[in-house]
Amino acid sequence: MSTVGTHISKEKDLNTQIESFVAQIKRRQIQGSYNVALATAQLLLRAVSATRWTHIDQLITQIKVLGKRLQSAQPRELACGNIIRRVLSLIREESEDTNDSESGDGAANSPLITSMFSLLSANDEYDSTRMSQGLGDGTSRSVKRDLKPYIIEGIQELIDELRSIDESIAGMGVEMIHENETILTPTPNSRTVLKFLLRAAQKRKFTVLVVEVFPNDVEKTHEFALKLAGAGIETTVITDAMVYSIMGRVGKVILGTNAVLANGGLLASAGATMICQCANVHRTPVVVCTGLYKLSPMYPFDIESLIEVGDTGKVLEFEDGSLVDKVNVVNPLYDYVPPESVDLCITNMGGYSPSFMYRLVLDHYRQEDVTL
Amino acid sequence: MPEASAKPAAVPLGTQTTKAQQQKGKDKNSAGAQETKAQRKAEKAARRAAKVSELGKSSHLPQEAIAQARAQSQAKQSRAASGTSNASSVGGGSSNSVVNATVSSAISSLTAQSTAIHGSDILDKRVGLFKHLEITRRSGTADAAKDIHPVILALTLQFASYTVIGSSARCRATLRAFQTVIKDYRTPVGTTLSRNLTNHLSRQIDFLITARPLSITMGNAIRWLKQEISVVSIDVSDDQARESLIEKIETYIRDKIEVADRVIVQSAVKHIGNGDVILAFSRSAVVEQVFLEANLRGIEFSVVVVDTRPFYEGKEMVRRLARAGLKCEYVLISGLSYVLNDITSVFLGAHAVLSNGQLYSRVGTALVAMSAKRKNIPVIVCCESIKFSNRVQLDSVTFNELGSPDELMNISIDSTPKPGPLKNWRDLPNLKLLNILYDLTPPEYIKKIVTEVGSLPPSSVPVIIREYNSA
Repeated sequence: MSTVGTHISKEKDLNTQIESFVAQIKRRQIQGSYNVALATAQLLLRAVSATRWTHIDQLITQIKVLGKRLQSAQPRELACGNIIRRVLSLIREESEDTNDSESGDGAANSPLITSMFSLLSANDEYDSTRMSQGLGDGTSRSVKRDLKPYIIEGIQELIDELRSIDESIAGMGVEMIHENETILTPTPNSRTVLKFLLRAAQKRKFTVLVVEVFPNDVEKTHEFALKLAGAGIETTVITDAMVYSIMGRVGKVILGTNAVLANGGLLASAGATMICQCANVHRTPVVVCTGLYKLSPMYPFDIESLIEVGDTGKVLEFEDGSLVDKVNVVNPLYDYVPPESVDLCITNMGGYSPSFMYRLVLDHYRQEDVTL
Repeated sequence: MPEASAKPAAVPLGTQTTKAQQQKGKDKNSAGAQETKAQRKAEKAARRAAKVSELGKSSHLPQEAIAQARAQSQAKQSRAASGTSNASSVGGGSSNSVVNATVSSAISSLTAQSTAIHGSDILDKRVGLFKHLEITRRSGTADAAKDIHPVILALTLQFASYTVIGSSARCRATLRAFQTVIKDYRTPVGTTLSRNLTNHLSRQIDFLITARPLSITMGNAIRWLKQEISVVSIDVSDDQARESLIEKIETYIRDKIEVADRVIVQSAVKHIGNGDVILAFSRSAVVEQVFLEANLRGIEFSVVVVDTRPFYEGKEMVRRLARAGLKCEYVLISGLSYVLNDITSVFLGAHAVLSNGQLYSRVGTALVAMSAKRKNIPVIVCCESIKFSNRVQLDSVTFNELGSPDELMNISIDSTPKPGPLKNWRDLPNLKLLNILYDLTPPEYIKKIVTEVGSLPPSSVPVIIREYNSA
């Protein structure tokens, strides 16, 4: 009884934690894809350790319900949903692994057919039908509690991966940049890009042109420029409008992004699209530095619904009475960059072309989890 | 020249005699000799700079020269590290820049605000690519010569503070100022009006240039005016000559700007239909008139104005359009891709159209034109024929105008300045701010240029210049 009692109080604790987390997300106290992703992962860790389940399906359903709630708190912050889907895919993977070892079936149970032999072998059809049965059928799974430590370990690994992302991406910087190069960065609010450039500056001498992202991130931009200059990199701050005029003298465009969509397109900060297109026109390579947690299984069917609009007071001050009622002011926070504008995506798992991103989506997420 | 007097004082005698010999041209022009002469010049400059920095800022050398010397010493150090292939070019460049420094110091005041080259720091704040465009700017008119007319003084300040801004507006203001100058002009004894007035005006123009470089329209107008002055007959009395010149200027303004604008408006309005959503960039006086005329004719359309900092000219445009009852939307250039989905056509203004069909206009125009072309949205440029120029240019770096970099440090969106995190940028090494005013749009992004002599594709600009002799 006492264990039940402590468990009920654990659940109550969990509920309060979830409530406070959702509130923080709604109020934008946790902001930025990295912070949201990390906080979501930590919350899920606590949720998994505090929840009881008899069938693994129950856990999956509970996480899904929780995930839907978290996602709807900040619907345009895709990182939250990404982490939830990663955890779900982790759970499914763990359960399928144990299922395999239980029934003694040696054939690969992953959705992807990995060996030609299994294509030719007679067991193939049997495997796929077993797969579709196995997910819905809870009674064959007698191992419930034993999975918990593995799942928790998996989530902990995910958290560690999140923390070390900037490190691994920065390590690739030196290969990308040569001596005396001029680099343009249209998203100076990205911590990843900052670390990338700072690490490369230890071995190379190059110039960086920093585009102010006015008006939403201009203060972060200026601080980014200060940090680069402090590290000995020759930094020049330019306005968004000047990009076309100097693009002919730029060697590479390096940007960060808020999200990468399944078709390889990006959801980056405002102005990124026109700058990447400008780079395409001048045949300047465009490189995106992003952690895999930003990769979302969503396709940009409706771009306008993905782009969040911000405070119009930053564009046109409200004191300007002659204009306030008569003019419609728009302040988009994000921009959709089509995949054909991007040449390379550098992630913590290596560099990929945007047309390959859908494979990474298949690797990390399950089809069943795309709609939470 | 203060430079020449300073050099011998700072340099030991042995090197001085060899330098004198070289200056007399007795040395052979071998590459080796050139190189060593350049190296010696640079070393001397470095020593001079070192001596000047010891003496502190109370040196009789102009501040620009100090910065130049320091830049040269830096250049010399980097050269020593990387090789001597550039030695002769550095040496040649240094003598030119020294001459420029003395000329500009003679005509501009050395207030801290006015120097684009900050003389007091070791850090070179000039952006490498644009060093050839740096000029010293004025902020006050206290040091003006006596023969500069007060109306020119006022105009100079208006230009320097961007109160009068825009290609046609500056041209009109300059011509009106010249009307006053001509009215008050009296030919000195011993010379004729047709010869002396040109010189008098040239001095006024030189003073105006210290605020901002001449616009193409101003250049064309001044060339026309000087031509008119030179054909004034000596039989005509001064009073009559002055009156006729003033009237000619009035006609020029009327024909080339005001009537031209009306013709352009009549022509361009045909491109606006019901239900159109038109994108306008920054502020163009002609484009504004096109929209107002279309609105008067009752065409139902809406306008999206894209604006940039630091001038926010688009705000003035949107204010006037909204006052006239037009449906307007306002966005900064970073939101361009977001609004471009609904746009049916783009109307742009011009500072100048060059002979190779390139459009020289406010910075950001090229981005707008490129983005529109990518989505197959037609781009129409409205411009008077006085904006046509014989110049050719391939990119926005070789020729441009630099604005004050401190405008980037200020992150407010209205007229009250609000310094941001970069307020001490001048003290930080490696940090530069770049503020250029114009950019070049390639002709392939432009569908049509509407002028008062007709509508034409960008490739036909040299034809107009030749036929109508407007440049």
